Formats: sequence, structure tokens, C-alpha cells
Amino acid sequence: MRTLVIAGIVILLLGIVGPQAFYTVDETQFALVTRFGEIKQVNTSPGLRGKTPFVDSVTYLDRRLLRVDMPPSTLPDQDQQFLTIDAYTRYRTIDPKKFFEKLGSKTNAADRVGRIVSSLLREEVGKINRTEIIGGIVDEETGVVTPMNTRIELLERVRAASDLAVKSTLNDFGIEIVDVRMKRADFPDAVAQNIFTRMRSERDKLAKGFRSEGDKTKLEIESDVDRLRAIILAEANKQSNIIRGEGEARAIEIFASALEQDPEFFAFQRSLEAYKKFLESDATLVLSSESELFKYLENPAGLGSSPGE
Amino acid sequence: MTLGVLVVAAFLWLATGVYSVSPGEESVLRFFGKATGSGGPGLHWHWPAPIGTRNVESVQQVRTMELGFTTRGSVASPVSEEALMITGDLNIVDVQMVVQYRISNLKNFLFNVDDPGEAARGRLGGRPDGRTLKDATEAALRLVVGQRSVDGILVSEKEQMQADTEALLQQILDSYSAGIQVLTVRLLEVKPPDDVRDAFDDVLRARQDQDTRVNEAKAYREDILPRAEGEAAQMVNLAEAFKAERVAKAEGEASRFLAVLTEYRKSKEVTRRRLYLEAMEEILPGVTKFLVSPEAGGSLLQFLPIGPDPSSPASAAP
Repeated sequence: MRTLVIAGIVILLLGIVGPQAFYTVDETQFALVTRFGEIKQVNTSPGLRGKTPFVDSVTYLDRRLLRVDMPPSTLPDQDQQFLTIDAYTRYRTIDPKKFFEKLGSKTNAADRVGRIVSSLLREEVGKINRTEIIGGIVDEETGVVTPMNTRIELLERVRAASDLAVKSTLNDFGIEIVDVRMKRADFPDAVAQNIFTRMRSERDKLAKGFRSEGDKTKLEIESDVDRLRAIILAEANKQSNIIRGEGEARAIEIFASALEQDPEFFAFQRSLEAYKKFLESDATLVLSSESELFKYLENPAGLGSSPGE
Repeated sequence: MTLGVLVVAAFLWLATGVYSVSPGEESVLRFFGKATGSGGPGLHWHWPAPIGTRNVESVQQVRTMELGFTTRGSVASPVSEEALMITGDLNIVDVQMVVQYRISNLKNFLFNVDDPGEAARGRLGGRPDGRTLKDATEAALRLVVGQRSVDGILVSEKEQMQADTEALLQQILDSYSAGIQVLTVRLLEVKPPDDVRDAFDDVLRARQDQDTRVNEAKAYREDILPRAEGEAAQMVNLAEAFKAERVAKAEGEASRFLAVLTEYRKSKEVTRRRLYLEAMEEILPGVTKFLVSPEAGGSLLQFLPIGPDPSSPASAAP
């Protein structure tokens, strides 16, 4: 029974005194030991540490890369065009003592650092125009965007200036500014509707262009087709007339060379043919009884066929 | 008895220090806050809390971060303040992207970067792969989009944008020594904002209309030109036919004439007479004939009709 009591007392004492006499410093932390507000010890390496129980207190500081998210702010550029810029900063504590003395806590640090970076950002944004901040230069004619590194350069200037500012003798926060980035650089909400209207009008312009380009090509092709068609037909017409002419000429030549053999007989024969054709049944023919045809009509002997007999 | 209880309690406490590391996982161990090493797969023991701390995480698992939308369950809903961004030619586009990554260095991942944001959003338990990665991704993507024209972004430069975003994102994360390796950056959807969607669609339709016009014109050409060529060939062929016909006819008639002429020359007078009479024979039966005798005065008023006279049959007497 006595041993149990003793053991209980020992465990109780350990439980009360242990956490007061020892503390651990994590890999992600710095530890500051203060006695009545006075810094006694700065621990920058992790591990188990001892301190005077009940008198010393420990303050932990984050040694990791910390983030300060600055509220989005609408800033004017060189040409007084506004952009809503949402940026963040990354800083790291390099001197925990200074940090503790000047800033005290992460929340306070975020506030102070945020204000310094924001004002430097505002200053730099006011020096260039918004397309350079957004990332490229637009060719008004072709709409081609030439990429620029101006945003990165601007942010690096802000970072360097912020770093100088937090390390200046006035501030001397014991931190370094590692990075400043823009998450967003957008049009302010108030002008978003105007942007949409402009985008719409640009698209309408493009659409009209495509359509009229199509009509143009169509008219070009179709009129060209009509032209070709006219040429083809005219050419064919010419060709066929030449051929017909050749045919007729050849026919005349052939006829002529045959008929020249006996023109008189041709005239005779052709006349008979012609008579057959034009003396149709409704024709009336007046004939002389003395014609060759009626030679035997009144004079069967065929003698003295002279008129007046 | 009491000692026994204490020993058992101590043993149970020590037993909680047993842990296993699966393949693909890594462990980082801390002894009173100080990193003492990391271990590979297997069954291990390390001091339990509050003396020791251990973190076991997969370093091969592909993790995913969404930008521009969130998936709750299987429903994806857009997050427009992330998705809408400005292009180099001052247009606005709506982008939804997924970043796949893994923890490449667990020590750096745990010790180097803080991450309050993602914890506040109730995701991933406040690990640095949340807000840090999100911030860097937004910064990288928006710069990449800002360096391009809206047409390039919407139409042709998706692959290049993914590559550029990935490179820039990795560069930012490396500058933080965040212990994160970006595996892929995938643009899921790149589209015009809903407010102007119809205008962009109309441009696409206009392109189609343009192609339609050109096709119509080409169809017209295909329709008209072969026809015209056919018509032309027809005209030429008809002419050729006419020529051949004319020549053949002429040759036929000429040789017929020559044949007749040959025979005619053999007995001119008789043939001539015969031809004449035959022709008359053929002609005269069909026509109304008046025979006029020169002795009777030779005047046409004194003609003698031969053959039936349809008007006055009585006048047939001489």
C-alpha cells in the first residue's frame, strides 16, 4: 500500500513538474524562452530542452515559409485603367528574437507585411500599363499577343523592395520576403459587363467577316464558272460553224467536180427532179400541144409534126 | 499488483509505437520534435506520443487538385471566381483545370511550408498541398493565359498552355521547397464565359456558313462546267455529223450523177427523151392540165381543158 502511494505521488509530481521543466522544439518551430517578458533563450534547433519550471514560459514561432494573403484591391495602372489584383506573399522568419519583439504574432506579421507589400505593389502597378501586367502586348491590327515577362519582373521588384523594407532599420522584422505573386489580375466587377459587351461586339465583327468572306468566295467562284461556261459554249459554237462550213464547202466541191463533166445534162436532169417536186397535184399546168410531149397525140406517124398542119 | 498495473500500462503505451509502412509510403520520424530519420516499407517501432511523432504518407499516390470547379460526391460545380480569367487581348475566358501531383519529398512537404487555407476549406487536413499549391497554380495559369490571345486559348494552344503552366507551377513550388512534384496539368474545359457564349458560338457557325457558301459555289461549278463541256461536245459532234452527212450525200449524189452520165453518154438522145417522158409521166397525172394549140390562136383564153374540171363539167365540149 505504501509503495502505491509513493508511486502515485511520484507520477503526480512528474505530471506537474515535467511539462514545466522540459519543452520540445519541433522541426517547424523556433522556441523563445521568456522570463517575465524578458527573452532568456532562443532555440532555433529542434529537440528536447529544459527550463526553470513555473518561472520561464515558452513562445513558439513558426519557422516554415508563411503565407500572407492580401485582400484583392483595385489599383490604377499608368493610364488610370483599373485592375483588381489579388496577390499573396511568402515570408520566412530568419531572426526569431526580432520577430518576437517587433511583430509578436503571425496575425500581426500578416497585417504589417501585407500592408507593406500592398503599398509597394500599388506603386509598381501605377508605373506600367495593364496589358503588361496581364502578360502580353496586343497587336491592334492582327490581334496577336506577344507574351511579356513584365508581370514577373514587376513582382520581383515588389518582392525586392518589400524585402528591403522589412529589413530596414525602421522595421527590422527579422523576416525575409521570399515571394510575391499575383493570383489574379482581373477587371473590376463594375466593368465586367462592359467587357462582355466589347467581347460580344468583337465576336459579331468576326462572324460577319466570315459570312461575307463566304459570300465573296461564292460569288467569285460562281461568276468564274459562268464565264468559263460562256467561253466553252462560244468556242464550241465557233468550232461547229467551222466544221459545218467545211462540210458544205467539201460537198460543193464534190458536186462541182462531178457536174462539170456535163453541165448541160446536169441542168436537164436536175430540172426534171425539180419539176417532180414543185408540180404537186394542186398545180395547174398549161401545155402547148406542139410540145415534144404531144408530138404523137395528133400525128401518130410522127411525120410532119410541124405546127400549122 | 500495483507494479503489475504500471508495467502493463507502460507496455501498452510502448506497443502503440508499432507502425507499418506500406510500399509506396514513406515515414518521417521525430524524437522530441527533432527529425531522426525516415524509413521505407515494413513493420517498425518508434517512440509513441508525446515523446515521438511519426508521419506516414504515400509518396506515390497521385493526388488531384481542382481549379475552377469543385467536386462534391459526383457533382461538379463551377467556382467562377477561380475559373474566370483575363486573356492577353483583354477578353475573359472560363477555364477548368486539374493538377495531378505527388509528394516527392515528405520532409520538405511537412517542414517547409505552412498551409492555413486548405484547412479552412475543410480539405486535406491543412497539409501544404492545399493552399500553397492552389495559390501557385492560380498564379501560374493566369500568367500563362494572360500571355495569350483568346482565340489561341480557345482553339489551338491547349497543349502548350498545359506545358507552360506545369513548368511555371513546378518552378514556383521548387522555389518554396514544397516537396511537391507536379505530374500533369490538364485543362478540362476552356470556354468563353456564359454571358458571351452565344456570340462565340455564332463565330463558329459563321465559319461553317462560310464553308457552306464555298461548297455551294463548288457544287455550282461541278454542276455547270461539265454540263457546258457536254453541250460544247454535243455542238461539235452535231457539226461533225452534219459535215459527214453533207460530204457523204454529195459524194453519193455525185457518183450517182456520174453513173447516170456514163450511161447517158452511150446513147444520149434516147436516154434524154426517155428520162423526160418518164418524168412527165410521173408529174402529169396529178396536176390540172390545159392543152393549148397554137393554130387556135395560141391564147390562153382559148384553152382546152383535159381531164375533169371540178367547177363545170359541161364546158368540156370543144
